[in-house]
Order: sequence, then structure tokens, then C-alpha cells
Amino acid sequence: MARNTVVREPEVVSLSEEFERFSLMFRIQHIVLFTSCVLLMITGLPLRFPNSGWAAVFFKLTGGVAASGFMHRIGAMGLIGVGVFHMIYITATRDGRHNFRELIPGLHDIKDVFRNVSYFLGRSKAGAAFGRFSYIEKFDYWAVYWGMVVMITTGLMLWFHDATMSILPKFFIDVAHEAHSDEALLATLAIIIWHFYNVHLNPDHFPMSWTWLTGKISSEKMIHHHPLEYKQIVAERSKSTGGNGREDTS
Amino acid sequence: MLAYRNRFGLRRMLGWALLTVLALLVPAAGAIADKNADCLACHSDKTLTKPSSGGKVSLYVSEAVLMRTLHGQLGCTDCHLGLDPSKTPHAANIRPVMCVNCHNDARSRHTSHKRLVPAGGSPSQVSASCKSCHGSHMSKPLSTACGRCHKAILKEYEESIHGRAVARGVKSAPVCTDCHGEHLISAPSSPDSPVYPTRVVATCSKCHASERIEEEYGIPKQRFETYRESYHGVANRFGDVTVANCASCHGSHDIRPSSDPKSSINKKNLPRTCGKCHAGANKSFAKGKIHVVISRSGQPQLYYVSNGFKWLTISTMMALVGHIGLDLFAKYRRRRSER
Repeated sequence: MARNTVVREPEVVSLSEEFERFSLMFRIQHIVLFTSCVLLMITGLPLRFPNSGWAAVFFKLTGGVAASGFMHRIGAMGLIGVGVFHMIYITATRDGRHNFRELIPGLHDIKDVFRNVSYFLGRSKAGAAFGRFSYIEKFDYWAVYWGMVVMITTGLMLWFHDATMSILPKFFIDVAHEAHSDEALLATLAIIIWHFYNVHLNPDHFPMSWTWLTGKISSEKMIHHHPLEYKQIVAERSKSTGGNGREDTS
Repeated sequence: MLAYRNRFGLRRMLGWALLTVLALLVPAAGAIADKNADCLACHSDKTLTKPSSGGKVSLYVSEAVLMRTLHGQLGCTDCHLGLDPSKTPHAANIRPVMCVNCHNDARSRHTSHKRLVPAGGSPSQVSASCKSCHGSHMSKPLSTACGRCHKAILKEYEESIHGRAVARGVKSAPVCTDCHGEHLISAPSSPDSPVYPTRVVATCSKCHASERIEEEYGIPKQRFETYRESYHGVANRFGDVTVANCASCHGSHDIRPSSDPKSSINKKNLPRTCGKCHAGANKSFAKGKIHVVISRSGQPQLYYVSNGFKWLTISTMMALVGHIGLDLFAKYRRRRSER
């Protein structure tokens, strides 16, 4: 059978079954991540656009640059905290190691991009078939990875500017300032355009996919969006039950 | 016939009118001249003095200088009221000059100079009276006027780059009033003052953000823009009075170019200047430009980082938005074909 053909196997999986896609630890990390990011973006972007009207309104409401700077540092600590936790998660937990392995990009992701684009253009009958994480989700993960490295490094240099300037020549902090500001804009745009389309505005999920909160995904969605992972789970279950009879899913 | 006669008649009438007016004016002018002549008969004597506490005070008035001033059209007794020149000596009859008699808005225009007293105040008080800034018969140069009391500051100013420029005759160089205001002089700690932390940047920018002045005098460009783009500039713009403003680094009266070893912005002195606020400021602080201009020749690292990010952002957004667009297009097409 072709790679992207999926066979439903009701003996092994019932159509009403929901799978746990994201564990609790996974979901908590995401919640801490986006809460911190929203706080960081709201308090940070007015500094990049000081000539705009909305920045003036913002600073008037929050009591100036020092007050919003304090809130920004709180968001920063949240981000750094979840980053450190994540490092432990992807190395020391089974769940984390599995997810990390699935996120590593490969050649098949590039093939998937071409497959999807040709499908969008009407040149092929079916789109790419994804495993646990599509190239879209992998992009989101690694973009955040890159973003956090840049923002936390440059952010700490700026936060502890006296130490930075007393050790390194001034142009280091000028570069840090520029990189911090530019990457902030890039990350914000990527989130509100790319990520928000994929999880909110995408007609497949509109108004929102709830998996980030419940952790659950229906078989329907699983088959549609992550058929290869579905097949893998089916195969594993068949193996464990000897290929005959229903597995106890309670 | 009639027209010819009337024309002559009109001219004659005008002629008589003119003569009458002149006849009236001449005695009037004469009266003024007479009045002043009476006063100047004694007061144009350069040796005329009167005793005063601590010596003598000159009573000489230079008519030539007086006539050149804005008050030159007035008579002596228009300000020195109640004096009859024919009754001399008149030391006993002298009343203090009340400038406010004509300049009745003077008090409202000078609400805040600390030492101000109305012109009728006692001469023994050290005061910024009308006379001490504006002079009496002739106007005073301003730095002398302010410097009479603010002696130490005058000395600093005269050695500064602005003071030296003024001494060289540079007309655009600032004097006291250019920064502190002319009549409503408030203390720098008052938000009304043009040199209050949140207002001083606009005050300096009157010249240092003017392309015309930058070109004409060859002074460094883009000072205002680069300051405003720095963290100090943004915080100051939104009311933070703790961050550095122009005067925090450059000084106020003792502003010197960075090449001057006494300058607060000389490379050797920068750690001390920065150290006023930044703990542990050392020589490393001075390694690099303070006013950062992003250009390939000026700051190449910054230029490449900034441009790199610009193109990364543009290309990433194009790719992502393109993908979204194609996805939506495909879905729309599928929905249409399903109908």
C-alpha cells in the first residue's frame, strides 16, 4: 500500500477513542511558555516602537519604562525557568526523550514540504502524511528553540548590563541590543501569523484545537493529521494482542 | 477755469496745514530736547559723581548710547518721574525708577527667578532687579548680567565650548537664556525649567538636531536621533528622570569637546562619568561608540546583524505566509469542487 493510505482497524481502535497526545508535563510547559511570552511581548514591543501612539498609551497605563521593565523581567524568569525545565525533560524523562526524538527534522520533512505544496497547487491527489509531528510543528519547536537561545542570551546581557559592559567592549552590548529587538519582532510575527493560523484560524481546527489543554486528540483527527503515528500505534497494539481480538482500552 | 483755481486752492490749504503741524511740533520737540538738555547739562559730564556706600557712583549718562537704545525716544523724566531739572541738586527728590509703570506685565513675566524683587526694592538688597539684567541706560551683555551673581558658573561657561564660541563671535552659540529661558527662569529641579531632565533633551536639540546648524558649524550629526534610539533616550522620553540625559554625560556649563582632557566625555574620563550611575564602570565602558550610528563603515558588526535579521524576517514571513495562503487556497478549491 502507498505510504499515505490509511486503513482503519475498528477491531483494534474504536472510532470514538481519544488518544492522549500531550502528557501533563508537556502541557504545563507550553502554558508556562506562552504565558511568559505574552508578558514579554506586551512589555517589550513598546520599547521597540517608542514613537507609536500605542506605546505612549501603554507606558502611561503601566507607569513608565521602569515598571514595565520589572514585568518584563518576571516574564524572562518564567521563560528561563521553563527552558531549564525543558532541558531536564527531554533528557531525563521517557516522555520527553520520545517527543524530542520525534521532533528531530529529517529528509522526509523536506519531501513532505514539496508534497504538500504540490498538493496545494492541485498537482497531486493527496497531501503529505505526517507522523507524530509534521514539519509545521517541527518548525514551531525549533524556531522557539532558536528564539529562546537568542533572547535569553542577549536578554541576560542587557539585564546585567553593568557586568556585560565591564567585561566586554561596548559593541557587544550594542549587538545584543539589536539582536534582542530584531529577534523579538521575528518571534512575535511567527507566533501571531504562523502558529496562530495553524492552531486557531486553520479551518480544520477553527476556533481552536483543544489538545494543548486536554492533551487529547480524537481518532478522526489523528487519522487525518498524524496517520503515520496512528498506524504505528495500531501496529503496536496488534503486536501486543497477537493480532486478534480487541485490546482492553480502559 | 474752476478746476484750475481749485487746484491751486487745495495746495494752499495743505501748505497751511503742514505749517501749523510743524509749528506745533517744533516747540514740542524743542521741549523734549530742552528737557533732556537740562538734565544732560550736568549729566553729560563724565566726572560727575555722587558719594555712595563704599565710594563714589558715576552720574554720567552718554546721550549717544541712550539714543541708540529702545528707550532713546523717551525723555529723562519719563522714567525719572517727579524731577524738575531746574531744581538742582535733586538728590533728595530722587525716586527709584519703577519700570512696571510702563512694563506692567513685567511681574507676570518674571515669576520665578529666586532673587527677583520689584524695581522699587531697596538698592542695598542683592537682587535680580530689572536693572541688574537689563541695565539702565544701556543694555548689558547677558553673561555679565547673570554672571554678576552666578560667578562660578560664568567662569565654567567661559571655558566651555559654548562660551568660547560666543567669545569668538559665533552668533548661534548659546548663552544663559538659550537654555534657561529668558523671563520665566526656574530652577533646574522644577518641571517648568527647560533644563529639567525630561525637557533638557528638547532644549539641546534646538541646535543639536538642526541640520542647518550641524552643517554650518561642522558639529557631529544625528546626536538627537541616536540618543532617542538608545535605552536612555527611550526611557527619558517616557518620563524616567533617573536615566542619562544630555547634561548627565556632557555636563551643563562646562561642556567640552571629547578631545579636551578635562571633558566629561573624554575617553579617559568616561568611566567616571558613566560611573555616576553605573556601578563598576571601568575602561571597557569607553570601548566603542556611545552615540551608535548603524552604518557599514561606522559599526560593521551592528550593520550586518541588523541587516541579517531584516532579511531573515522578511524571507521567513514570506515563506510562512505563502504556505498559509496556499493551504487556504487549496481548501477553498476543494470546498468548491465538493459542492
